[in-house]
Order: sequence, then C-alpha cells, then structure tokens
Amino acid sequence: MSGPTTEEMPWKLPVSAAILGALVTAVYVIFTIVNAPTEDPDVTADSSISPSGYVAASGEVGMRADVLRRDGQGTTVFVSSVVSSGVDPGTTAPVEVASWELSSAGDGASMIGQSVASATPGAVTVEFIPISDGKPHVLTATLPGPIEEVDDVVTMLAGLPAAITDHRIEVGDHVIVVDDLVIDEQGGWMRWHLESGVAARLDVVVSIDGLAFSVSGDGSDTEPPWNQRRSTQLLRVGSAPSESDSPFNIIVELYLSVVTAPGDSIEIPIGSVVGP
Amino acid sequence: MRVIEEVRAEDDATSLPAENVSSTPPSSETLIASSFVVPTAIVGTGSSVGIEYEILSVAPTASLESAGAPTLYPRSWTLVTEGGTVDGGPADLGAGVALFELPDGTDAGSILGAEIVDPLVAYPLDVLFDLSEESPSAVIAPGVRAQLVSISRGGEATVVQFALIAVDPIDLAFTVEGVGPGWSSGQIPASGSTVELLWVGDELPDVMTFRAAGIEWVQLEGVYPVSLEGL
Repeated sequence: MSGPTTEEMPWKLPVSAAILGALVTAVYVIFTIVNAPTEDPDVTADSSISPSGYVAASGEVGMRADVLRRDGQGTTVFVSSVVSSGVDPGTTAPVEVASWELSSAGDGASMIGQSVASATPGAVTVEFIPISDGKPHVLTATLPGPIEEVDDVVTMLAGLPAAITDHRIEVGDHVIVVDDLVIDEQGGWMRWHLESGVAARLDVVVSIDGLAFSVSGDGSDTEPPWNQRRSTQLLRVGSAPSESDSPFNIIVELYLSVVTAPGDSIEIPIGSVVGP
Repeated sequence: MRVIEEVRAEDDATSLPAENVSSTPPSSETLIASSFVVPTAIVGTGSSVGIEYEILSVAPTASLESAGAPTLYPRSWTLVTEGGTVDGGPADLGAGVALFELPDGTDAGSILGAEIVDPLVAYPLDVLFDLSEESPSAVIAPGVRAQLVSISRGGEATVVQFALIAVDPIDLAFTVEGVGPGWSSGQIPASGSTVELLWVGDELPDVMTFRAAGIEWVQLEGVYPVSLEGL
C-alpha cells in the first residue's frame, strides 16, 4: 500500500506540509522527557516538562512562561503554548486557565487579570501586583473546574443614556456584581466583579425596541479569558435611535459563565526573569 | 543568557501519519516560544548572503479566524563563518530572509552556522492607563507611552488628543479606546501619530482612563542556534 502523493496532501502546500509534519513530531518530544518536581500537594504531579520548558497543560497542549517581567508598575508574565504529538494546531484549542498565582518565598499573589488575543494564539499575558524580587518564583495555573452558566435579562423603559448599577446575579452559591452598565448613543460600557467563585466571564447583548444595538467585547473572534473583574466597552452594532423616539424599550441580555470550583493546578516553568 | 534547546524531528518522523511525512525533512528547526524558525535556503552571491527561512507556529489555533500573522520576529542574527561572526537580519517582520554582508575574502562556502539573538515574540497586550491635565503622560508598556496633547471642548462633544510615542515603532501594535461611558466606541488604530478620541457627555472626567489592546513585542533574551546543515 502506498501513501498519498504530494499532490494528494490535504494542505496542498508540499513544503509547508512536510515541514509542519516534522515540526509536529518535534513537539512530540516535548512532553515525554522528565517529570516535573513539585512539593505542592495541590499541583498535579504527573506533569511532564521538556528541555524547552513546556509542561503539559492538557493532553494536547503544553505551556511555558517565557518571560517574567518586573517593573515599577507590577509583575507581568508572558506565557506561550505549543501542541503535542501528531496534533494539528489548527484543530486544537488553546488551554483556558481560570486563574494564575505567582509565589515567591512565601509571598503569593493572585492575578490582577489575564489577557488573550486572536493575533497571538495560545499566548497569555498575566498581570500581578509587584512581588518580592531576588527570589525564585513559582507560577501556578489553575484550570477551570465546574462551570455554571446563567442567563439574565434586564428590561428598561428609558431614554439614552440608560444605566444599571450594582446588579447582582446569583449563580449557585456565587455572586457576580455588575457594578455599572451604561448604554449610550456610542454603545456603552460595563464593569463587573466576582464576589465569590474562581473566575467568570460575562457577555452582553443590548437591543433597543427589538433591534440589536450593542454587544460586549472587542469584536475579535477570541472568547474573553476568565477573570475576576473586568471593564468592557459595549460596541454599537446598530443605529442609534433618534431622540424623538424616546423612551425606548431596552432589553439587556447578560450571559454569564462562572467557574465555581478550581480544577487541576499546574506548575508552569518560567524561562527568564527580567527587571530590577 | 538562556538558550532554548533545539528539538530534532528526524528520529521520530516514522510516528507521523503518512500524509504528514516528507521524504526530505528539513535539516533543522529552532523553537522560539511557540514558533519554529526553519531555514530553507542560503541565497546570494559574492559578499551578500541571505538565509531564507519560514516561521511556522505550533500554537493551538482552533476557532481563531484571524490567526496567521507571525508572532515571532527573529530580528537579529549572527552568522558564524570560518573567519569570524557577522551580524545581520531581515529587513522587516515579513521579509523571511536574513541578510548578511560578508567581509572580504569570505564567501558562502565558509558559513558554519547561524544564531538568532534576542528575538521578539508577540504576546497579548491589554492595559489601562490614565491621562489628565495634571499627569499628561503615562506608560503603556516598556518603551511606549501616551502623551496628552490637547483637550478641545465644543458643545456636547470634547475631542481628546494624545500622542503614542514608542522607542521602537514595532511596539505600536495596538488600538486605544476610552474606558467608561461617554467615549466613542470606535477603536483608534495606533499609527504613531496623534490619536483623537471623542467624548460625548456632560463633564469630561479629570482623570481619563484608556485601554490599549493588541500586541506587545517582548524580547526573549538569549542566543538560539540555527543549523544550516543540508542547505
């Protein structure tokens, strides 16, 4: 039995396909080297780490903190991801991390926030408060455990701008608070925080008189990362109603996901530390 | 100085599905963050030499429609020759060829290898920064800052102008928007020139908060060997 010819290769790019094939094999080496040492009972012990420093965050994806940067404003960690053996990167989703913790000789800091972008697949930038310098750092990623999803609807008969303040949404034992949600002619703005729970994300769709008006997010194709607080601009997607039409029937649909318990924790190797 | 070890593929090539296996695998790959640099040819004549390369990402990209732009910029290269080392690099992010001017008496036949030095890797950028008339300058990222230029009030609308200033122009790879109610929701591409954002509302806040979102290029300090074997 003969294999497919070059012309039959699915990617139609013989050189690139060949190279990518070799590369996928190369990454296979990554997850099969040595067991990562750990003294933290909450950190999974079966993670494997490669010479290049990637640790298995799932069966298909490895993660590594390439750089930890300290400056006067805080501590920032830059994380990258790679796929594992025989896996097509194009069909593999990045690993989502619910929360990050950075510890250093007894001092620990939970993340202020994490960000992702469609232009940098698998990469995560995590912000922390300034932490002690001159000591080894340990970065721990906590994957999402159980996730609960709740939809909530707020209806208002109002003109623009319209606002919702301190709106609480209960998800089981957890509460997310929409501190401010303002709808104006430009679109709007929202700020929320999680009172309890590991992490959350919140999407919003606003319609006015039955017509789509604005949505949350930045318009990219990337799902927002898990966070514990967030401020988000609401992008206007429809025409602003004229003033003569007010008051309007405004419907705010809130789509909430909450990580209600932590999942596995993984110690992520840190490549280099820069800064004072 | 940190060196990421090169991971070779040849030994495991038989474990791949047949359709992914080439009869002539690349001679080497250099892994930097989630991208491989794969040299494909040495080109040029006389003293001008180029190393053509491809950058191939092994980052997971499922459901990311806009993925595909390079997230690695191997900007600085060192060519190792029998007569010493020569610095060079690509002309820009998308060039795909690192260029070198060899010293007199040296030709392509004397090339022993190459190294990538302190490459730039793209990571997400999403930061808030404040500007006010009292504090008209704010750091967005190392080497990048915003400088308030003017506030023009007229009727219900106020135009806020500020400049984005970067030591390295490649770092202006983000958009800026106002944070909070009242700001025009349009995101302004950062081009290095003055940015204008429109405020509509009663009273412009004394302290204005903005979000910069996009890409931050971070230098990975280190030397990454690139094998030219077989080229």
